[in-house]
Amino acid sequence: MPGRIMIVDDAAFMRMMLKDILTKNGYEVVAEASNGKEAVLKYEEVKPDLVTMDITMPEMDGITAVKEIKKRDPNARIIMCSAMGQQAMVVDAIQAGARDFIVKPFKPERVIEAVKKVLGN
Amino acid sequence: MAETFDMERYLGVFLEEVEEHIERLEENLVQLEKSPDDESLVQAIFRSFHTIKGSSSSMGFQRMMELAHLMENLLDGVRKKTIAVTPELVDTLLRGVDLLKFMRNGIALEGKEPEVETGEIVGMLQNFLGKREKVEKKEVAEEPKVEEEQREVPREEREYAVRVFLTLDCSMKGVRAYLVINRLQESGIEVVSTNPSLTDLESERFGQSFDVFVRSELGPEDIKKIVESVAEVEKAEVTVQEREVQEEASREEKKEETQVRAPSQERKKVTGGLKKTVRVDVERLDALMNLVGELVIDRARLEDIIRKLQESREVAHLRTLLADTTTHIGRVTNELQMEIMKARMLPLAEVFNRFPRMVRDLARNFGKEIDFVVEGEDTELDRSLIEEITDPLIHLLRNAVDHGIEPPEERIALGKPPRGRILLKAYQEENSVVILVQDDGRGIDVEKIRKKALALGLVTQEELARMSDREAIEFIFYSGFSTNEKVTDVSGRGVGMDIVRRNIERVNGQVHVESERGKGTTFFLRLPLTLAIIRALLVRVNGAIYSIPLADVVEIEKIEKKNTYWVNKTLTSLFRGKTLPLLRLRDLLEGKKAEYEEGMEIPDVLYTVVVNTARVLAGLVVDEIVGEQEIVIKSLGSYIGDVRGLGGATILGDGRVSLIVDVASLLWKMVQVGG
Repeated sequence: MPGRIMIVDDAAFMRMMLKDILTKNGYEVVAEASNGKEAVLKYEEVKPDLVTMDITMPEMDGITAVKEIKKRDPNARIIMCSAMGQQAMVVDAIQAGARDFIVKPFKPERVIEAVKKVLGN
Repeated sequence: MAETFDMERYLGVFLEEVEEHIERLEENLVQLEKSPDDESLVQAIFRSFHTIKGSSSSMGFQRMMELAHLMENLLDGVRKKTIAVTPELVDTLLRGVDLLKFMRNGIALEGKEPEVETGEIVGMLQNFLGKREKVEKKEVAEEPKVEEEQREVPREEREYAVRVFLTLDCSMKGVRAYLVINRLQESGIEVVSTNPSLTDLESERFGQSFDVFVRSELGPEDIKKIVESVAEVEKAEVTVQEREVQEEASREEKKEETQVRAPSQERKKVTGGLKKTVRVDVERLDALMNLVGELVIDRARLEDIIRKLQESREVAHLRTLLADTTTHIGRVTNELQMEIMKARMLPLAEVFNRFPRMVRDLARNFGKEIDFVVEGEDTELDRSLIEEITDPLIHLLRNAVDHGIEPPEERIALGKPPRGRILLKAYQEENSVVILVQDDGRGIDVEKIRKKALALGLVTQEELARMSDREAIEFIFYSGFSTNEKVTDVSGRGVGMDIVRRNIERVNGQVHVESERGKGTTFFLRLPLTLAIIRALLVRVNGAIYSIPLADVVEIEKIEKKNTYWVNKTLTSLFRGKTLPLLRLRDLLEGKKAEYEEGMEIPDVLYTVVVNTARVLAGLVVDEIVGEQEIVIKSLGSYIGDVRGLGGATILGDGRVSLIVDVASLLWKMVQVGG
């Protein structure tokens, strides 16, 4: 069963790329957000099966957003999108409840593998 | 070789865990005696025994397992309320725990269970169980419950080695490994160790694969599935670890991996994933502290330069610049100093934790009933100080139990509650930590002390008459002074209080005592936060500058000649209504008679530093008061060794060396020379 996914990234380019990769593989992108705050609001609205979450964003960063979303939905499944060199932040995100992570620059097959594994399909 | 090394890996975890449980058991059992109905406490004790039983049996320590099992059963009885919590039960359990501790230490030393006679304690423990069985037989209805209980015992746990292969293009391998371990723990699997070590995993010092050793009730397939649910994990191989197989396997691994793994860094147990702490060698901290010391000196030197520059006018701009820099360096050194000091700090719980057990045992020994209250155990103190204060505290607590608190009958007769109370409390006060030991017992008999002091020739009748009770009490800190007629096993041997004081003063601390007859006694220990840097008063004597620790200074006085008096042919002044003997620091330091005598030339103004080390109040006359400064204590070095009256040296801002006056030993010398 392909899933309903929300993409969170402050760069429109990144969102576009991810969206392409995901839709090509049969997933449905149900929402996009450009910062953590927006992500938390939209999450409650659309209840996606999975969220891809950028770390560095204006307004509210990805780690805080993970915490906020997890507070509202402990079962939320979130994959962090990290840049090289953000090891410590990824660890923080995992401690906050993120299920997995992918590292930029994205390779389509890695993105799909992570999404598949987290969704359990 | 390889075999023993590998056993050590498991043995280490085992020993560490058992030690932790033993400590917890001691605390909890003492607590249980006070609150026998606290179910969560009973559960905690039960779990500790249960864990010790489990791990000692898997390590093959049969007798330890049997003993823990027996006590687990007893606690099970307590849990079901078929065994009552009595002081006797707690006593026996504590003795059992002692035996466990003995076994554990034996294993730590020799790698095998020590030959120890367990019969007596096992018999005593079984007696308690026997009592229960009688009760149980009457209540047949209880039985099904017992079976339920047995089902609760966890299924057989197995140990697995999980080799995790990451994809070739995997990035952030360290975090990946962390995620794998995290995922395992989230699934309720106990992660015992990793290869390479966690530290190496975190810093990506491994190839495409790594091993995780886990313990779980789950089957190998389940574990494989959990690990492979993490992205960028190529595959996981899970093998069941039979004891021999395990040794075989790791022996081979060892060959390849010795270079990667530093054994000392191996984390014995993975508790909460990546911890952001570093272990630092104390010596390295000391070295850092020394460097900070140098910086502190540099700061003082800069301040000195500014002062000198202040006198010339042309360099106004430079002066501001320099002042700014100095302020900044000052701020940085302060912060650095605080940070390093903090890194050297340990919570007092390190020592305090063992006292409840000790006080309880002593109380039972002496037939006293005591509530022991500990407060402020999270107050932190320099680690070297923590070692220094342990013995004095033990001594004070023993005294409180033995001499302080009266037996219950006596207390009732006095209209006091039969249970005595001992408070051990720590708190921070400005730059020092205060630890107090307080009892609500009989208090110190000052009259007895006065008589004894007179009998020992420590004072004359006259002097004694002038002494207030508070001053007279201080005699208990003299060596060979004990008013206890009955010498007991633990206190009243006349050694002790003087050693307490000496130990505390050695680390620049102070002891003092307050006592009220019939109401109780309180000992106050005041300790500096650190040994390395202190605030001092700089004084000039004979052309040299000496540092007097500010902790010893009561006040600085400019005493005019007309305000001095002759008492017993020595020059004195009045200080807060008390006689203040005036002593020339110059002569004190040289070990000469330092009192002014009649016929001597007395200067019109005497610059006096009033010091008090509890035993003596004295005025040290100096040539000039220079100022107050933070100084870094440097030892005098082994060539010079211990010089009475001097506590070390420091370097001043202008590069000169200043000797640090050790007031306590200086005045002690004075008592010797003068008396």
